[in-house]
Amino acid sequence: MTSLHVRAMAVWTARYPSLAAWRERAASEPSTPAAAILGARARGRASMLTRMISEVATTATQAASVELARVALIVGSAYGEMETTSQLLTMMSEGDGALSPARFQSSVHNAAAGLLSITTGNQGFSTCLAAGDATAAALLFEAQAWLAEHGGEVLIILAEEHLPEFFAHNETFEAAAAALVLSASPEQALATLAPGQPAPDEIVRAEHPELGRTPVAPLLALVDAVSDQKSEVLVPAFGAPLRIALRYKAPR
Amino acid sequence: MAPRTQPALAIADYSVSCALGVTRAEVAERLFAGHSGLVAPPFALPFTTLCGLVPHPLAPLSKAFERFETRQARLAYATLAPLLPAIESCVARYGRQRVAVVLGSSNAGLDTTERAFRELARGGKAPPAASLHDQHAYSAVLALIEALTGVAGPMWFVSTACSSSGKAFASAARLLRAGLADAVLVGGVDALCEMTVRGFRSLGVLAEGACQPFSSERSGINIGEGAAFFVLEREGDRARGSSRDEPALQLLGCGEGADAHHMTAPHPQGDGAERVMRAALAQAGLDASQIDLVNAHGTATDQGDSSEALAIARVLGSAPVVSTKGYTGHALGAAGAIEAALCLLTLEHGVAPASLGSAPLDTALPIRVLQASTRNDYKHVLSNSFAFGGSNVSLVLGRRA
Repeated sequence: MTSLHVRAMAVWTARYPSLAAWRERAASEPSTPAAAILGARARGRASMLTRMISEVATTATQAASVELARVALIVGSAYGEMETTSQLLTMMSEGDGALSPARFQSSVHNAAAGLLSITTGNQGFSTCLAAGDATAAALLFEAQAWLAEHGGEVLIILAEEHLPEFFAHNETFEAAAAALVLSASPEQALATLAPGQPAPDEIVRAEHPELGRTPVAPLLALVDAVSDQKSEVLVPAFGAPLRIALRYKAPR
Repeated sequence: MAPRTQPALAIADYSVSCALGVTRAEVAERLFAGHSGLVAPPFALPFTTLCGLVPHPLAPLSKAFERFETRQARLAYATLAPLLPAIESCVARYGRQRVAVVLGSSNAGLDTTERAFRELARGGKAPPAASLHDQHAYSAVLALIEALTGVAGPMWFVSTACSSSGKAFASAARLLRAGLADAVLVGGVDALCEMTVRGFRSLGVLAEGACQPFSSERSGINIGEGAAFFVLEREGDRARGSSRDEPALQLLGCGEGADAHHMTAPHPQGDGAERVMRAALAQAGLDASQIDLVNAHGTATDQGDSSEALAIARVLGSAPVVSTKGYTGHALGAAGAIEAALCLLTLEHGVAPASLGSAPLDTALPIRVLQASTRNDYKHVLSNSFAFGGSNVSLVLGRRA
């Protein structure tokens, strides 16, 4: 089975707007992602989710020295464009219920992936997945299957924005995004992942002590495990969690 | 014949529910007889249109699963039921961890969220948190399928708007070829939602009457709904596990790519559509001349039909072309799967449906649109799905000789 070689990683949360800040837990005042790649016009209209995805996509591909205009892109989000969907639901309940076409086209799960493809001219493979707490596992499986067939690199991104008030009355988590550039080649790898072994006796939840019960938590745990050179990490999945072994060229 | 770049995959069984009916026999009968399933929408709207609504009441979920209750879940359950023996056979042969689920959807449980939001706007109670996970989210139907079948392999929804369930086939095929699963329940499901009907209206591409793909009088789309599920296995595995008289239906190739042009408008010359059709043919190892029928995306928008027609003409010349949107409406994230099922009905019955609504034909389009249902020895069908964000997919389905 294909191993996944981690070439680069990126993290964005409102209080930890970079991988370094996340790793050092150097909290800053809550901010919004710069998402410079989108340009001022598209950025102004973009949702928090789309901005976060654009931000970590740019940071991770730059760190890996791969082109965002050519890399295969796998975006995950359990809930997708919730804020935009909520705005549309509100529009539907007012007046004659007419919707904004700009909001409607931005409400699809692949809004960010589409915008990135259009912005960078990437005509290659991209997809968008959703699997609740198992979304991180889905990204790793899809990346593994893609690299087994095509080689090269793949950019995986997992992001969730705040839940709108409609759903957030008794469940909240902080907006967060994480990205990894995974390669079929071990060259310049930070770590090598061997995913896919079920761990039936373990219970793992998609939850982070600071961010709350966010589906992004398992990918952040993987980022931390790679940074800390841990030997394994458990990722929630349907059935049983996945046990992912991590290897390093020069262990500490 | 061009060399095949990937092995064919066996479609062991399949099931479909759409505006034409809820069994394969019912759908085939109405499809080949040229009967449209388009009807008035089931909710009040300040404009006129038709929708492709599943024509029978959908049974509620049983008590044990009522927390998942949405129209989306009912559609999924009704369409899954005929496949339970085939899934059970896969679990018995491969083990539950080796059976995956890859489905496409654009709406997830939005049909129920809309009702809850309306209730809230009227001063009612906000939905409980459980409804986010068990009803609204994509994962709700995955959890329902896990509970119903016991499968425990990789599971996810692909959600790339109208290419979702076409891309689910490509994703499932990769899982099988990479050895990450031994069988995949693949397909798509989307229930009719008011938001998508109003959304396409806001974009100015919703038809007031029945849609007319490839007609000079085309004026936009009808929104539909439905589900189609397929049990996909590697060809060799299937041959060992099956009886000889089963249909030898196959997924031969998938092509995926992006226009990188515009969020809602296709590339005017259909360049992105051309690339995915060529990629699907290459993966199938087929020449253009071996495609017996094209199931077009054909939603009946002015730009969409013309750009797709240009792409089809460049790749497949004068191969006969059908759009089935006049029967089913556009089922969005489920469209690719539903139309794959309609393609399999053509391969099994040796009949292609008429491209309903195509008269009067747009003679400026350089393709041969089938205007009457046609009997033939169909072996290879190519099916397109194109989406917002420029997400494109093309599938090649076949019947083993």
